[in-house]
Amino acid sequence: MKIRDNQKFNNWFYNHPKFVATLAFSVVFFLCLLIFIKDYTIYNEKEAQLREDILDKVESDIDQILKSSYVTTLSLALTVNNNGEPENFEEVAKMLLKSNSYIDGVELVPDGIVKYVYPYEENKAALGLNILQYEYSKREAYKAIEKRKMHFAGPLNLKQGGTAVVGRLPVFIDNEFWGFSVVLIKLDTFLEYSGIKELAESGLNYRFTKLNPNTGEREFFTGDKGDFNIEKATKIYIEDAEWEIYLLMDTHYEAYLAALPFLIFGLVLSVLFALLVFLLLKKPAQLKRHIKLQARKLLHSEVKYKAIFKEAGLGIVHIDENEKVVEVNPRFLEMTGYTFCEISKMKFSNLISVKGDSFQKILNHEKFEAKLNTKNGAKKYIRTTNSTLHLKLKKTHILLIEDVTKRKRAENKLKDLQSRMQMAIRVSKLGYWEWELETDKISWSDRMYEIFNFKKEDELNSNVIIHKVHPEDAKLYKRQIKKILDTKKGSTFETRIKRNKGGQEEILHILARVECEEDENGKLHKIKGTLVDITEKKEALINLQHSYQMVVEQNDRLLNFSYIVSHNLRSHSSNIQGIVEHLKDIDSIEDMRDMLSLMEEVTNSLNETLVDLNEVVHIHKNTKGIVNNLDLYHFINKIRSILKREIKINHINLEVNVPKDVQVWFNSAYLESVLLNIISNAIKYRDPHKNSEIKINYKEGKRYKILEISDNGIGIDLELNGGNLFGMYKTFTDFKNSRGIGLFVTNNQMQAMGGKIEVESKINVGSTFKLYFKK
Amino acid sequence: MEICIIDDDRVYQLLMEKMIHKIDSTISIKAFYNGDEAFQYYKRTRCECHLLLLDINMPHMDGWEFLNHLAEEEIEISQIYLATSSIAYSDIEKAKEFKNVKGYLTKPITKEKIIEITKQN
Repeated sequence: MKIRDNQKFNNWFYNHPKFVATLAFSVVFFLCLLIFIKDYTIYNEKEAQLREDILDKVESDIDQILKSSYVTTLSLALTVNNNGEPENFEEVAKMLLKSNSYIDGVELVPDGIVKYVYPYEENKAALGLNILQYEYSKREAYKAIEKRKMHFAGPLNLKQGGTAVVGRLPVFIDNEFWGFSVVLIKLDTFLEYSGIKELAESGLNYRFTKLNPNTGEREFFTGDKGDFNIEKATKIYIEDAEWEIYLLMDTHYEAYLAALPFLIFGLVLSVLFALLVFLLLKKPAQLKRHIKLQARKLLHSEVKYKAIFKEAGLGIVHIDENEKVVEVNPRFLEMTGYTFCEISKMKFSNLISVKGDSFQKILNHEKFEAKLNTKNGAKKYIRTTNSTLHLKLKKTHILLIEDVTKRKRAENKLKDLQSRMQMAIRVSKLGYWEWELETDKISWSDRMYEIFNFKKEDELNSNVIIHKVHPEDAKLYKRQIKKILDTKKGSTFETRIKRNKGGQEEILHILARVECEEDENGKLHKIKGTLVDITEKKEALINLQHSYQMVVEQNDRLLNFSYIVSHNLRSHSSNIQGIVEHLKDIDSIEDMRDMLSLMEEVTNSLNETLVDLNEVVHIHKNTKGIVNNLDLYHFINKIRSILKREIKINHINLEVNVPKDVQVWFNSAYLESVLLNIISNAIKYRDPHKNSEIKINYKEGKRYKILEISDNGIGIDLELNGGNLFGMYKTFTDFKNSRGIGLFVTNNQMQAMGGKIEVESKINVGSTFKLYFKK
Repeated sequence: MEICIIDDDRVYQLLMEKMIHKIDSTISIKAFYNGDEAFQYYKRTRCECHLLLLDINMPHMDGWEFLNHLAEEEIEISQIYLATSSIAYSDIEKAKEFKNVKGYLTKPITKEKIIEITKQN
């Protein structure tokens, strides 16, 4: 598509608004300039005319003066009689001066010598001057004689003072030169009457000049030569006096000045006009450009549309009201595998299968999904966008068809994967959680709610979680979280949590795996991970560890036992061997007796040792004996009655603070043995200098029921004996009947029942034995 | 010559005394019933004893502790023999750690053994 351009000329104008505006400016300005020049010229001519008129008047005035002067001199000359003597000079002169106001004086100069002057007083200084010899005037005087005509000299400086124009009329008597009749016109008077003075008063630029007859140089009588341009001035020449009067019109400047406003107006007008033209021309150019742009856009979109239609990744189909294919793009043909010929013969509804609705119904939807039946029988998933187009009152449709087979398959795959993953999570009982750091928002999977036994509506935030962590693990937990936040690195850790189930608090072991998620700025914004309940495993592990520890301890005990056995039995046997050896070379009956008594001692100790060992063996054998819930208070009373005698003899104050209902899970024989051992020890190692006291207290710990038996006896140096306190055959005192087996057996019995024994003691203060019964 | 016996077994002490006196009635015997008694004595007197027979298993202060205390207090007794009924291998090994322990004797200690030891000194 192209916009045809049939107004090339006009377009040229529209396309060059600047140039045309410049042209318009030039034309208008040129016209204004012409008018200006014309105006200027007229003004000048008018001025020149005026000047000429002024000069004409001056000339006629001067002429008048000269003529009057001539008449005056002539009249004066007529006073000279034939003898060459003037008659009635004074009277005539007086009369002449009276009638001619611009004549200031007269003289008669016979033979060039000034002889008569009037008025006398003013001019008497000139008397006797020979003007034909006086250097200053002789040339002009001779000129007058030569010309036989009146000649005006000066203006010059008079001998009698002042400056004046001197008009000399040569007087001839009988054709012979007699002398001069002279008039004196003072320069001021002359200037006044000739109107020259008026020129100056009118402000005109003029010069009154003459070529000096003596020097030949130009003299200026008014004004100075200065910058006066004689060549350009209008001139009048007074022949009788050789005067030249110049008048210069200084009017150029004024003329310019007068015409200047017009010039400025013209300039402004031109500019405005040019601007107007520019603006007017610019508008269509702009419009035209706009149109061109629109046209280009239109063209572009048409091309684009065509390209889209042809090259689009979408299939585009135009069907009419009868489902006949009107137009179809190559992509759609490619999708179906049909040619346009084949497709145009088919009904569109045969091409696609729709779930549920009929095809007509589905055309009411803007978007719908369907399956496309391709030529080779394969089905493709398609997503269709439907635009209804009313053409000539008929309802047609444009369908954009996207092949979503791949996406659909991927979606199915994803769904499959998701369900598998969900199953994996369900089976593995993994809890999944996310924690948004900025908002402190925590989201949980269902399993998480199960682990914590939370309801869905319970509020979740970091604080709530921290409170669920087991108090003993809280510090470690916080440290773990801090480390994760600081390093932005994931981690795996175990901790314990508390949860309420059926009103009871349970302790759960959990394993948390944590991963960090950073935003695009590298800032940590989310922590997420999994949680798994490992309580069963953990407890199994703990039990295993316990069993292991027990085995190790048992092994230690056995080792210790075998050691003791070997040592103790060997010490007796070696003593017997020693005695027997000694008996071999005995030399006296006394020695014999000694040996026999020693022998008795040895056999007694041997027997004692064997009894002890038997008892120890019995413990080890009997760890799986009958275990019952035993009444602790009852057993203490039983021991008290067994030891009744010792208590009484030794004035022991036995104080029992044990609740009557306390029961322990223990073997009855062991319990008796343990209590008997500890209490009898307390009696045995009493301090004879004190009133002996034995206190039996009871308290309950977390894992154990604790029985404390304290005495104020001699005490045990734990630093010296601590490590071996419960070993076999340890005696701490020098009492003869002390037997180390007691504590060893007690310790073993407590351990066999899952408890333990601890001791606190200070020499000369007393001892406290703590019996820990497992809960 | 003086022989020092540290042992809590009274019978053993008596037997040893009789046996030694049979070998040589000039030998004087010093008896201690546990390590502490002997240690306190040596610490106090700084007496040099010719021969020391040391039991391991004793109440209060056993043989090992006695040896450690001697080393700490820098009491020099050059001729120490461990005399014990223990035949545990670990004890024999442990005895080697102490420089001043000259030998390891297992009970019963025979006349010949005592003669051998006394001859060496």
